[in-house]
Amino acid sequence: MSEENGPEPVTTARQTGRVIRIALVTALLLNTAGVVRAGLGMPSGPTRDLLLGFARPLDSFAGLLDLNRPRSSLDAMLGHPDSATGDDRQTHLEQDADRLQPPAQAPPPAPDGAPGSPAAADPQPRLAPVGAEVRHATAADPLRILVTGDSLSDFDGQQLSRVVAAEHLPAKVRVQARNGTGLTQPSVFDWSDEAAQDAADFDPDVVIMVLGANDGWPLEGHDVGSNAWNQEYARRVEAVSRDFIAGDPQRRVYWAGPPVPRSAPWIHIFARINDAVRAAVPNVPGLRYVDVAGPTSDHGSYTDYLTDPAGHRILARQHDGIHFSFAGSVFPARIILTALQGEYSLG
Amino acid sequence: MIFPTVQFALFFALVLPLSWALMPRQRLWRPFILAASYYFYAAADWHYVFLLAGSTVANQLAATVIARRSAAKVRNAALVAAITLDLGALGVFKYLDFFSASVNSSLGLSIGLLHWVLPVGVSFYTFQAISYVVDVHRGRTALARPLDYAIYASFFPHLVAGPIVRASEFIPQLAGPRDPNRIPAARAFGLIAGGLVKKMVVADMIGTKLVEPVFGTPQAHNGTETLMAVYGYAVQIYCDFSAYTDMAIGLALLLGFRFPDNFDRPYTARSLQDFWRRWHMTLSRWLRDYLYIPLGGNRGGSLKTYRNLMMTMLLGGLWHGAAWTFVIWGGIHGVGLAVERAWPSVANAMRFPTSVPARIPQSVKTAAARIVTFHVVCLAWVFFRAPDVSTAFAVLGRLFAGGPGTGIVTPTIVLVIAAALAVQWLPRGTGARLQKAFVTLPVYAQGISLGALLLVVAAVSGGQGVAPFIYFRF
Repeated sequence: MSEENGPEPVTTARQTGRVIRIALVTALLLNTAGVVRAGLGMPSGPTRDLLLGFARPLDSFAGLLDLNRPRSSLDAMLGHPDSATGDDRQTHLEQDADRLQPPAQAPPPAPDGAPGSPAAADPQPRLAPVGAEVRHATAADPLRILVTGDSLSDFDGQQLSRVVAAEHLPAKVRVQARNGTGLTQPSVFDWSDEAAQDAADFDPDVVIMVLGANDGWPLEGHDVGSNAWNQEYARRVEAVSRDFIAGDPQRRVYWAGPPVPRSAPWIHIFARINDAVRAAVPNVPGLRYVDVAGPTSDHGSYTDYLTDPAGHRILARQHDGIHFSFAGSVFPARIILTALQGEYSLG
Repeated sequence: MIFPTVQFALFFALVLPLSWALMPRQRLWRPFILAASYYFYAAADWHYVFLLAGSTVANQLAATVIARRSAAKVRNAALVAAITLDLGALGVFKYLDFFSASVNSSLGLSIGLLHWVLPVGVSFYTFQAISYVVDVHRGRTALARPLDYAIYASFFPHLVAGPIVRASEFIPQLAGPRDPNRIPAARAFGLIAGGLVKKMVVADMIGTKLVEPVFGTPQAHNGTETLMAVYGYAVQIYCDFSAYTDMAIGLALLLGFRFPDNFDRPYTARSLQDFWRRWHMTLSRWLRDYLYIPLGGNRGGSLKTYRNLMMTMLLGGLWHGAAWTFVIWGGIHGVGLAVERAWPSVANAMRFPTSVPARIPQSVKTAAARIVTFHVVCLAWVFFRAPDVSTAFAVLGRLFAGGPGTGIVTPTIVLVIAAALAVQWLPRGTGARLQKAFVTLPVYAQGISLGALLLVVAAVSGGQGVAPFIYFRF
């Protein structure tokens, strides 16, 4: 530190500790819902249990004393009113369960756990009747496409935007990735809320939903990948899709399932997620399933490299064995575009 | 575990009082702080704890041989072995897949890739390890006790993303208990609070709302938006990285330890040479002392000096990541530094005026030098940020594009970028004056004001979590 302003002020470790304790207690008491939310976002384990075991009763106590008011006022001022919502209230995604039809029958478990393999895939899921014809896109009035979802959606959306621009297609792509989100923890991030908000904000003609990388969690007490888990996941896909489509029968949701991952636990989970999305399609007019897993796999198995139409081998996946690389994301982007062109006239 | 999270707050709230409680009993404090640091590291990925431990043991063994043997041959062999091991680990984890993929791509081969996740902080602790064994070899640092070296190598505030602290700066601080009556807490709180604001308010907001959309889909944005995104990235990377090292320095101060500064208002630099005295200062001096000078520095004439500058900056670029974009980033800085150095003699030889006419005020000349330097740095940042070289050129091409924008350049964004740049021009003693004012507050007022700041930062960041620090990838 510069000495030009005299000696550096110092204090004792004891007093420093007191200041830190007061600061943390102040921040905690005024932000208990945010701490609960942070706890819910942590991976399972003793730290998470300890934090939630402590923060939840404190959140109830703070609620009684209205201590969350400064935070909620700040959130309202800053335009994100629900950002500190804890888990004591039922999320919209959970509320949807009460108003939706009984869940669709989930398909049987994937025989070999490999999404996209001939045994696991139903490449032509039955489509629900749609409420209205899609509108015709022109250069003057391009198709508004919103690409959203978890981190998987980011590069896919960027590459889709590039392809659309390069081919001068009458479409405008907006990418809105919500990293770290999924359908299994709506108290952390409620996609139903987000869908309604995005539909209102962007008024897209088409929503491309790319989701699933963070959904290795139990649902309503059901083990990941069990039939009950699959049924609940499909119900949530339906709920979010309805929230996107609500108010515009011409709007379509193209739901791209996650690709075949490299490591074992995720292979089964991603396969079940793809199954669940397929199962949801017949129940929601305007919902479409896009099979990314099959065409980007090596006969149903994970592969790092993919070959483009010009014959170039592209390192298509990232180190984690889940995400596509930036260059590799052109493959799912092309698959999504082909699916869109099956319904929309894009030149 | 990263600093601005509830997990880390819990961890530090436990470690800090225990550390001071055990401080008088050094036999207990040493294993405690070592265990705490390893726990911190294991929280990211426990597998790589073995790499850190292995690196520590190997480098301490080499340093022991270097310090205790008098035969130059043996000492040199131990030094070479240690450096080879350090760079080998870095090469395998960081560069092998990059080179394999490059060979596969250019020659159509199918060399298998390892897919090993880059161990968090490996670039930083490897550089510290190399500086330790080299300094022991040069006789500038005494051989440390094994436990002291292990603490130095793993001390959690600097373990993951620096600053790159030298053994000669840190290990003497382990000689005895730190003084619990001389904690520069106001400075520490200022660094931590400032770091939180820089990271969670400025960097994450600019990154999400401006930089990512433009670098993701450059063709969708016009020249104004692209230019603002380039400026925005300059602010984002500064606020992101300096936030981490500020917090690291602040946390270390609370534990009783001092680290060197890592940033000194870099965008006020008048030349690239000046920029590198202000940006990531601990890396700059590492590159200078362990790469540039051993290569010959400026001792072998002009051409060798330029060659050494280029090599240092290209390798510095490659240190940041295994991609051609980083090589180009380093190349721009290398060429810029060489041009700065060569310009007076070239201008003289070509009979150019070496200085601007005297009638132009010095303040104008200085301002012009700062503006040029800032824009060269921004040009290099485009390659640093872009996912690939073609995207970088696409971004540069869009700087001259017309047409309507997408509305991502809002008054708030412009204000935040301008404010983040303007803060660098505050008088040097501003922080010290604020710290002095802070310590005059009663203890409760200090605590409550810091707690309120945490609340505001949490609210502004919107509860969406903290984006990973950019330098965690390096």
